Amino acid sequence: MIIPMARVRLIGRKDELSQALVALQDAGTLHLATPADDVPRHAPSARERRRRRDLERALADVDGALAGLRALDAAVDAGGAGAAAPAGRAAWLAARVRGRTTAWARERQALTDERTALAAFAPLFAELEALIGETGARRLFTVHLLRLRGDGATTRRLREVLARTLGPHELRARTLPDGELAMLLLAPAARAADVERLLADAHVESAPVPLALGGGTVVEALARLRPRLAAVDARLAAIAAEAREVAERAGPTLVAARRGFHDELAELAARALAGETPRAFVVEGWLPAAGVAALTARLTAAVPGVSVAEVARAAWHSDDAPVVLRNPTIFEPFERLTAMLPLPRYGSVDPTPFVAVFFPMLFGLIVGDLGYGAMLAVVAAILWWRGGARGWAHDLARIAAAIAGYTLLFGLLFGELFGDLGARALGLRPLWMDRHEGILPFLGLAIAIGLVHLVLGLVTAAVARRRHPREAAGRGLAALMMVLIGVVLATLMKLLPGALFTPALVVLLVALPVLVVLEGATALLELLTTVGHALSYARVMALGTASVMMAMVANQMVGAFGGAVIGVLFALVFHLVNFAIAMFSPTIHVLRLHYVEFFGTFFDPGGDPYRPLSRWSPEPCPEGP
Amino acid sequence: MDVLWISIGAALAIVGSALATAWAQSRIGAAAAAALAEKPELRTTAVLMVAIPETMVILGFVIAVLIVLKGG
Repeated sequence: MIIPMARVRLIGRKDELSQALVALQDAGTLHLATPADDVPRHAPSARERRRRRDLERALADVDGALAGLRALDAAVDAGGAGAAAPAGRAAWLAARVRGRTTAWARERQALTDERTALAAFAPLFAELEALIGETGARRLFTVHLLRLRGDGATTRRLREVLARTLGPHELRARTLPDGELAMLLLAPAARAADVERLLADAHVESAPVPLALGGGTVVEALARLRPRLAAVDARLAAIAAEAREVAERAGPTLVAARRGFHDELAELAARALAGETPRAFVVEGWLPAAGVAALTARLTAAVPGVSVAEVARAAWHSDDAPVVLRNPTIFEPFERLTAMLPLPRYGSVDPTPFVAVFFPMLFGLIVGDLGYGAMLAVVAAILWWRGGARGWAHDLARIAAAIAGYTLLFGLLFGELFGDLGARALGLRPLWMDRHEGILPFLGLAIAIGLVHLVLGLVTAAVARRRHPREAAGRGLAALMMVLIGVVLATLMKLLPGALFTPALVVLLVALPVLVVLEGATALLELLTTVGHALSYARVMALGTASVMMAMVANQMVGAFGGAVIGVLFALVFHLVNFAIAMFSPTIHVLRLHYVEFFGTFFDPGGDPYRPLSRWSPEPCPEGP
Repeated sequence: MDVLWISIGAALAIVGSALATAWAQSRIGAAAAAALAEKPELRTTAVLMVAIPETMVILGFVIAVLIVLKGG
């Protein structure tokens, strides 16, 4: 439900505005609004504008510094209490830490790139070292590091040419991370000139020694590889250690500064919403009606000169008030489903309780199977066990438990356990209706539920618009006409005594022009749309019948594929597929029945979320005080 | 012969409504995917929009069932 709100007006001495806003931030319950039109608005001074710019810049530095430390694996506990520091010093520190983290991040990136490049050459250099060790005399050999792009045939051709021309030599190859082939050629020093010519003729380029190793020959670079890798690792470790030290030393101050800057910016924004005269200030806002006394007591204790008065209900419009939803614990998880739509306007109706009742019921009516209900209950139990005490998984578990309960209940009423398996194996019989045999009664039931659902929506709309008698009467009359249409259809189908047909039809014909007078000619179109919406509930029958038919097909697979084992396996797989479909399809269709058909009768979207002025927190502010 | 026409009638009820639903969903689905790429917060509206034409095939199914049950 939407909890009642109150609008309050705070009046005090102009020099106490800051004190009052700080007290409001501490209370965290007042959603600020602009004061009445006849009160002049506060005009921000040049000092305030400058302060705002400075705060925004400092906040960007703090966020950048904390993000930089996080990127360097030196995260600061964002929820920590932090040590408050003077704003100027905190801003200076934030800018300095941000600069250092940026420089470290750049250096770390360069070192990491260098390390990756060196690591790519390391195995080749290890082979070179082994090769030189085997030959024993470095001076008698010429060493070439080659880079080759091509397939195996290219390498093979090069090997053949080298073998033909050079005689004894060593050639080792390794694929680099970029896909190129790095080759190490070891040939007698006396043939160095031949090697150069041969490689030039074959258009094979020499691979440059990594720049980090200072150029020179491959053999010279070999001596420098390991020390350089060690130096890179040492510097990376040093950067990490320095970042951790800075995070430890400056982190708490930065966290506190972030909170302080956010709070001060919120206060400046709140100041811009205040009204003021040469001597006084006026602040207005909304809060849950039950919290007015507590706020008044808190404010008058903190700022004795401030007076708090509730604005009379007749002086404000419902459309301006923010919306806070509060439902009984059992309905709360279903707020997740209604939250997918915009908030309802203040003064209208929160659809959550209706969704909490009808969503699981319609879902259960569609799936209606003891076997699938039990599987759903297991899913709900797993979600409950893994989901913790709150959050999405926890709410999903509670919704799943509700729909599992209804699925089991309707499964019992329909006598279904994995389709007709219960009837065939255990002699299970329907307590109420056989969906397989009674498709038409099931269709009638689905449309009847639709009529009841829509009539409930129209009555809800009539009650919600009780302050507008004409609209309320129109909605009420539309509800009555839907009931009469139901009666007429029921008499035609011989579900009700035929004597009711004529009176119901006469009342219906009399009500029609009254509805046009109350709501205009478009009311006729709306009525026809609502009748169409009632027919749309036929999907409950269609999906339910499809579900039971698929379960029966799965059962018939046993024995249809020769061996019993294969048949059972196919049946199990088909039941699993049917279960998966039964999770998604009814969910989407039942949600659609709510969002489009049911909500269309009364739901009034466009509510403003309740965002009270409060102390900043890294966690999103909870809705409501 | 009656059985043949009843079957053809029921099949046509499904085929026509299924094709109409498929065509509508293909257009709506493509537009919804494009809209979601720019505004992910429209996901609920997108799902609803895609689900709306399914009424046609569901009503087609209901008509087919009525044809089979009443005709047979």
